[in-house]
Amino acid sequence: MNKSSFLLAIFLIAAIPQSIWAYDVIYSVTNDATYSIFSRTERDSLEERLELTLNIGNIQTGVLFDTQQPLPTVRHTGSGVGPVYLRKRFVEIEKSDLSLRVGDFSVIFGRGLSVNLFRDDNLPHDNEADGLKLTYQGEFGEAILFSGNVPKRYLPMSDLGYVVEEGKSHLFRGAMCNLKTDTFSPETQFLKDLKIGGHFMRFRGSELVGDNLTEYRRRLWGGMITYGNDWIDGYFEIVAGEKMRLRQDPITGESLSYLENSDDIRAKYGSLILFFDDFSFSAEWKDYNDFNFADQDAKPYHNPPVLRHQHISKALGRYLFQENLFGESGYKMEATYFPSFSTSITGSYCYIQKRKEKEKIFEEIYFKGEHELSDALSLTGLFAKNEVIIIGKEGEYTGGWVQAVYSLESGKTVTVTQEALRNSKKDFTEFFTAVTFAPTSRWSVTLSYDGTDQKEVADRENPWFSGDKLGIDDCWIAAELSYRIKNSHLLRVMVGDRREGWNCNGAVCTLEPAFSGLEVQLISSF
Amino acid sequence: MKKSMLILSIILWITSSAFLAIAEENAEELKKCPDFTLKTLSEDNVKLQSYLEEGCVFIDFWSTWCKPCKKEMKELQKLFDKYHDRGFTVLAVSLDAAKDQSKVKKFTKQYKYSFPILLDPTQEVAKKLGYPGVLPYSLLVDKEGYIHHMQVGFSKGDEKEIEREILLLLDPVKADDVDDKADEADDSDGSEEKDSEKGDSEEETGE
Repeated sequence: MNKSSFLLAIFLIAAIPQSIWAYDVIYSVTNDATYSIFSRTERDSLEERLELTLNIGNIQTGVLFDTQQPLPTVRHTGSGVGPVYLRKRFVEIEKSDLSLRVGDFSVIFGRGLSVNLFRDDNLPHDNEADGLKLTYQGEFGEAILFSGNVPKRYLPMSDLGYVVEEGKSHLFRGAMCNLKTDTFSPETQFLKDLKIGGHFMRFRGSELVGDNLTEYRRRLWGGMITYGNDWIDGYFEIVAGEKMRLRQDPITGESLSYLENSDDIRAKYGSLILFFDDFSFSAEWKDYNDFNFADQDAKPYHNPPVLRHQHISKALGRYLFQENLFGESGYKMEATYFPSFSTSITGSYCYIQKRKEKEKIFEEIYFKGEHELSDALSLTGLFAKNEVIIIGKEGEYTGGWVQAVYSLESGKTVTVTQEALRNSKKDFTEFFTAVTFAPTSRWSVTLSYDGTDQKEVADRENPWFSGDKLGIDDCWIAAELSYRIKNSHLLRVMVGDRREGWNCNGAVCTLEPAFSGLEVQLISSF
Repeated sequence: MKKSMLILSIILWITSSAFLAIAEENAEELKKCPDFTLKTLSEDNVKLQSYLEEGCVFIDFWSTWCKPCKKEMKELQKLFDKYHDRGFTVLAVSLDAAKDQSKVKKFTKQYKYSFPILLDPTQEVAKKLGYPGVLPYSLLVDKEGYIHHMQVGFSKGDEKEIEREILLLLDPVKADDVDDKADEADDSDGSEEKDSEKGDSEEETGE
């Protein structure tokens, strides 16, 4: 949806009879402002994100403004990513079992194997799907029709840099439904535990292959089945599809001839968990054959499940193994023993291979333990050993992470985190230490030391350093103050150096650039 | 930084500050919580309104990878056990990715939470309710749908304040008693924030 159609939607809302104002107008506003001064380049920058949502009766609308001053030019191309820009806008109308949304929307089918469109806030541009979504949620289940495009696309150019490709060339449309099987026989327990669903989706886009402008088309269809109750949780999804590539006239955009036509897209994903009193066993399995939506990374609209752990540990998380979709299969098994609320032990094994060649590309063994010794002291630790067999990233990483939280009688707490990581193939060792002191529940101070025994050069595509100002370091020391103001406002002040690399929080991993200087962040919700 | 760009940034900053000022000015006027529909772990759709008919609701946005969320949920389970008979309930909304749905179920089983667990993998409902991108994020909503408490992050000791807010909705007289006791504790050691500091109190957020 372009800006003019959004303005039209706003006009229509304004034109709705005055009776609408009889409804309560409910707003929610969040604001995230970060001001940074980079000591090496003596540059400063302000980033701000303001999101407003309004609910008027059964109508909801929202906008998100984003500004970044100055723009880190290496990271963006194209005219649409301005210094202050509208990153999101939508209008949604709900009426009994139906809802219609125009503008930015998210949609997921099952556990996200084939359809998993959502806004990734960690990407500094509009990456949400833009279009139309019609949802029915009723006694028989759920049905969704959607159509739109991803206006900007994330294209990684190297490990630490990317550009944003613009244009409305990534069009998609689809339909999906999930049935409530117990509707047909409410008394049958088996049907209550069972859910089934199906989907169809097609999309097309343009991309350059060599010097040729080509149009790619994909058609996908598939289904899922899930069965769950107190002792089992099972899920299986399968996707099949076909792909076509056509040569395009570079001037008219007309599709001229088939360059490729294949119906070999296959993807399967399954997971099973068995629950016992104080023990659980889980297994996950995936098999992706040519399951790429486009030749280039289509991250904003293609996010199928991955198997490897996304470590909470800073050092292990930094050497994240990235799975791909072109031809991989693998499995993960995990067992957890939790004899009490305060104790748990987890062991896990993951193996991923190239699908056709059957060659190992990743293997990991992982243990984690948590124990609360008393109200005053709790300990958490993990150990992982993994082997990555990808040229340029290969290594045998062995790492550990231990965290102790000690509560003093006066209510103050001290948290000590210690990590170590060794890559035996590339022969380097890294350490990370952090100590947090919290005198009250409102504020805390953290001192951290991040070190390696090999010198590291900050990436040249890093927007905050350039030329001879590139950082060459082997240790990064920082202090951070965190203060919560009136419960819903959080202030953070960081002084020092931050090392570049992956930073993972749950399923979301971002590449944080290196930083030296002062950073002040205020996060508010009101 | 270019001057015009700086001005634009300042405009946005001022706009947000204005909202803050308005919000504080209207502190007496409670803000209403919009209704929403989310899926449960058994994939059934539920509405906030159906829970509000029973009494006040504490909505907690959390994730399996967020450590302070785990601490908060431990405390919420205690409050749920204590006040559920009087109409209070907790809705723990997981923001884990869709593929981690089975992990959420495993986590819930492991820690034996008895309050409802809902799923918001696209974070659409979270954004509708003002989620600022920091976990845990929580709201206490009364029977009429008005928000009485909003919090970003959780540290040990915050549960006292949450309990006081819950009691204010369930039984204002008892809440006053809790306040009086807290004031006495403050007077006795001269510390302003004594009542919210008991236990470990690391300022934590799981961004």
